[in-house]
Amino acid sequence: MAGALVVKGLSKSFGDFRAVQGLAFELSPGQLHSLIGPNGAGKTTAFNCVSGFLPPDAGTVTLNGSDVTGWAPHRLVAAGLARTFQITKIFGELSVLENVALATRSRDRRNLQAWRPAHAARGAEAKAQAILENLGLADRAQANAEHLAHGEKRVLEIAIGLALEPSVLLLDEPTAGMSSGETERIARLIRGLTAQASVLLVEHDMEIVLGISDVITVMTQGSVIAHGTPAEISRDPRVQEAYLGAEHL
Amino acid sequence: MGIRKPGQAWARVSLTLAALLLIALPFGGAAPFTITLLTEALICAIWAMSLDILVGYTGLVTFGHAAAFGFAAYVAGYFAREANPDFLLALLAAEIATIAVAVVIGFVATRVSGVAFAIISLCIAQVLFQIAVGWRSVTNGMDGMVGVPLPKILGMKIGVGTDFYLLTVACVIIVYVALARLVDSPFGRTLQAIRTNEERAASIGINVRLHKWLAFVISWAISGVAGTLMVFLKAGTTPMTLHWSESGNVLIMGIFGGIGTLLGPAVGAVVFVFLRDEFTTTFKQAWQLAFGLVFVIVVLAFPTGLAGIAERALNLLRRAPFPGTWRARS
Amino acid sequence: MDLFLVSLLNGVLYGAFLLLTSLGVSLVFGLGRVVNFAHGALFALGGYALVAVMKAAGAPFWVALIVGPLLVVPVAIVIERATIYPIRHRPEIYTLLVTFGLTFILVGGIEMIWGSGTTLVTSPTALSGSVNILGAPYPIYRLFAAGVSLLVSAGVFAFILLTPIGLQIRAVTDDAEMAEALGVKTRWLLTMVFGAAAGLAGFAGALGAPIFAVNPEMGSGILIDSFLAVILGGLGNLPGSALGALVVALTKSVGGSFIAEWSIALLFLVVALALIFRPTGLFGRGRVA
Repeated sequence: MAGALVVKGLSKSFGDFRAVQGLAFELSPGQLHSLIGPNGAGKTTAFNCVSGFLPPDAGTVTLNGSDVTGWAPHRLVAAGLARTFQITKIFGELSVLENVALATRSRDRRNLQAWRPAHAARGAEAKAQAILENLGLADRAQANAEHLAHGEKRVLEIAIGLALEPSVLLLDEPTAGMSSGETERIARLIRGLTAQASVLLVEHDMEIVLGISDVITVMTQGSVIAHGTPAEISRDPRVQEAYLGAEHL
Repeated sequence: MGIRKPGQAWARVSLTLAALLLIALPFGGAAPFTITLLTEALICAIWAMSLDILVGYTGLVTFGHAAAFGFAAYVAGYFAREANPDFLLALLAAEIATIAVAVVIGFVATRVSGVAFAIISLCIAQVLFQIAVGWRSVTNGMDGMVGVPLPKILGMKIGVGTDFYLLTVACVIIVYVALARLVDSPFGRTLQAIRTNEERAASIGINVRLHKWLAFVISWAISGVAGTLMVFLKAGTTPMTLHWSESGNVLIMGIFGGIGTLLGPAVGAVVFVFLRDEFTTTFKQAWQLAFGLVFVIVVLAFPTGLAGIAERALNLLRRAPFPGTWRARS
Repeated sequence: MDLFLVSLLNGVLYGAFLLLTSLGVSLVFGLGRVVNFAHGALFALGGYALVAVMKAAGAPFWVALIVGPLLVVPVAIVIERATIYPIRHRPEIYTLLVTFGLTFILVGGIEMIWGSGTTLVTSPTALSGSVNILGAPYPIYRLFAAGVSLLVSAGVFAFILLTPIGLQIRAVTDDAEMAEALGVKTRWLLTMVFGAAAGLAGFAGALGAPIFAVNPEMGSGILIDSFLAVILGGLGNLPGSALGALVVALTKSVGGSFIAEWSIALLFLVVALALIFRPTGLFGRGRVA
C-alpha cells in the first residue's frame, strides 16, 4: 500500500538529554498528518530519525510495509520517501531548473551515468519543468536559485521533494520565515500535494495545521500528548496548556 | 539534442585550435629544452586535472595527491625495466596497481570529509613515501629508481624529444576529452551536487559515499597516466615524487589555475612548471619561500584562480563558460 | 626483552614531546576550528630560535630555552592576525590550505637564514652524560626533557581546568556562539591560544634540539604524528589527544624497533581503523569535519 508510514516506539537521546521518547504515529495513504509542538518538543529530531539523518536509539520506522529503520537517506529516497529542510538547502549556484533536474535525474537512476551529457536526459528535464509549472515557479526556471525570494525558495524545496516522486513526503516547517500571505498560498499548495503523496508535516504554526490537516499529533518534550482530528485537537485542554503563551491558539 | 549555444561553439573551436597548436609546436622551431619542459608541464596538466575531479568537482581537498602520482610512476618504471618497456603495457600495469590501491585506500578515506579527509590523505602519502624510502630492494630507496628504458609502442621506439612530446600531447587530449564528458554527465553533476551541499545531495537519493569513492578512484587512475608518462620522461623516479611538497605543488597548480573548471588546473600546471623553472634557475635558495608566499596570497586573495579572473572577463563579453564549468548564468 | 623496554622508554619520551605539540593542535582546533598545518614549522622555528639565541647572544642553554620559544609566539600571532583571522568565515578547508602554504614560507625562511644543513646542539653540561637503565646507558638529558615536557603539559591541563581563562576556552570550544553571547572575547582568546600553542610547539622544538637533529625539515615528522594523535583522540578533545599522542609515540617507537619502516604503515592502519569504527575519535566527543 503506497504512502503508508508507521512509526513505533521511536526514541533518541543526546547524552543525558532525551529528545524523543517512545514516539508513535501512523500516516495513511493520501493523508496529511501534522506533527506539531512547541520549540524543543523533539519534532526535528524525530523528523531526522525518520528521514535517515539520525540513527534512532530505539523504535521502528515502517514504510509501505518494509522496515526502513536507520536506512541511509538515499536508500529511503529509492524506497519512496522524500523530505524538505527547514533551513533551506538548495543548490544555490545552480539554476532553479537544474535544482529540480538533479532530483529527477536521480529518480531516473542516472546518477552513475558518465558518458552522455546531463542535458541529454531530456525526459528528466521535461519532468523538472513540469513540476516547476505546477508550483508556479516556471518563470524563474533559469534564474540562479540563490536569487529567489525566501518564499520562492521554500516552494523550490517542495519542488525538489516532489521531483523524487515519493509516496511519502516529509515537510520540515515549510512555512518558516514566510509572510502570512505566502503562508496561505503554501498551505493550499501542501493540501493539494496529497493527491500525489501522503504528507507528514512538521510545523510550528498551529493555525495552518488546524486548517489543512487530516490528523494531528502534538508533542512536547519528546513525547506525544495528544492525537486526533483538527477539531479534537483545538478543543484539547492539554494542547492549550502546552501552547500557553504562544500566539497561534 | 541540446541546442549549441554560440559561446559553446566558440569554446570548442578555440580548444581544437589550442590542441593543433600544441601538436605543431615542435615543427615550428622550438628549442629541444623547451619541448622537454613543455612535456613535463603537460604531464603535470594531466595530474592537475585528476586533482580537479576530486577537489574541484567533488569538494574533497586532498593533501596527498603526490601519492597517486608517485606510486604509479614506481609501478610503471619497475614494470618497464623488469618486464616490458611497452608504454601501453606499463600503463596498464600502473593502472591496475593504482586503481587497486585507490579502491582500498579510498574506501577508508572517503568515510570522512573536509579537514579529516585532508589529513588522512596526507598521512596516506606519507606512508607511501616511507615505503618508497625504506623498501630498498625494489625502489632503491632515497637514491631513486633508475634505468627505466625508453618506451615503445607496438614495437616502435619512442625517442626523447618530439616523439615523446607527441605521445604526451595525445594523452592530454584524450584525458581532457574524457574528463570533460565526465563532468558534464549526470555523474559529474552528481559530484558537483555533493560538493555544493552534501546533505541535500543525500536527500535527493544520491549515494554520497559511493560517489566520493568513485571520484577518488577516478582521480587516482588519471594520476596514474601522469605518473607513467613522467617515469618514462625522467627515465626513473625518486621518493620525492611522493613527498608532501609535491602534493603542495599540484594543489597550487589547481588553485592557481582555478579549481572546478578542469581547464584551469591544466593551464595552471603549465604556467607553474614554466615559472618554477625560470625561478629556480635564478633564485634556487628562495624557491620554497617564494612558493609559500604565492600559495598563501592566491588562497587568500584569488581563490578562484586564473579561471575565476578569466570567467569574470568573459562574462563581460557575455559568452558561455568553457566545457567543464557549470554555473547558472543570471 | 631489553630492546622492547628501551624502545618503550623511547616511546614514552617521544610521546612527551608529541604531547606538547598535540595539545597545541587540539586546543587551536577546538577553539577556532583551525587545523594549523604550520605547527611543525613552528616546532622547527623553536629549535632554530634556540640556536640563534645561543649563537647570536652567546646565551647559555637555559636562557635560550626560555627566550627562544618566546620569540616564536609573536611570529605566530602575526600569522594568525594576517592570514587566519581574515578568512575565518570561509569554509575550514581554506585555513588548512593557508597554513599549508605558511609551512613553506616558514621552512623556506629558515633555509634562507640558516641554510638547509643540520645543526648540532649539545645538551648543557649539567645534564650531559648518561644514567644506567636496564644495564644500558641512557642520556640524562632525555629523561630531563621528557620530565619537563610532561610537567608543562600538566601545567596546560591545569590551566585549562582551573583558571578563569581556561574556563572561557572550554566554553568557546563547546559552543562558540553561546560563549560570545555570554561576553567572552573570542577574538582575543583565539589569538592568545594560537600564540600559546605556537609557544608550546616552539618550546618542544627548543627542548628537543639536543635530542633530534636541528634541520629545516625537523617539524614534518612531528606534525604528522600530532595530527594522527589528535585524530585518534578526537579533534578538540584534550585528554583524548594526550592518549592519542601516547599511542602514536609507542607504536612508532616499539614498532620501529621491531618492524622498522613498516611501523608507519601500521600506525596508519591503526588510525584508519579507528576512523572507520569511531569517526569522532577513539574517545568520542571529538569532531570530525
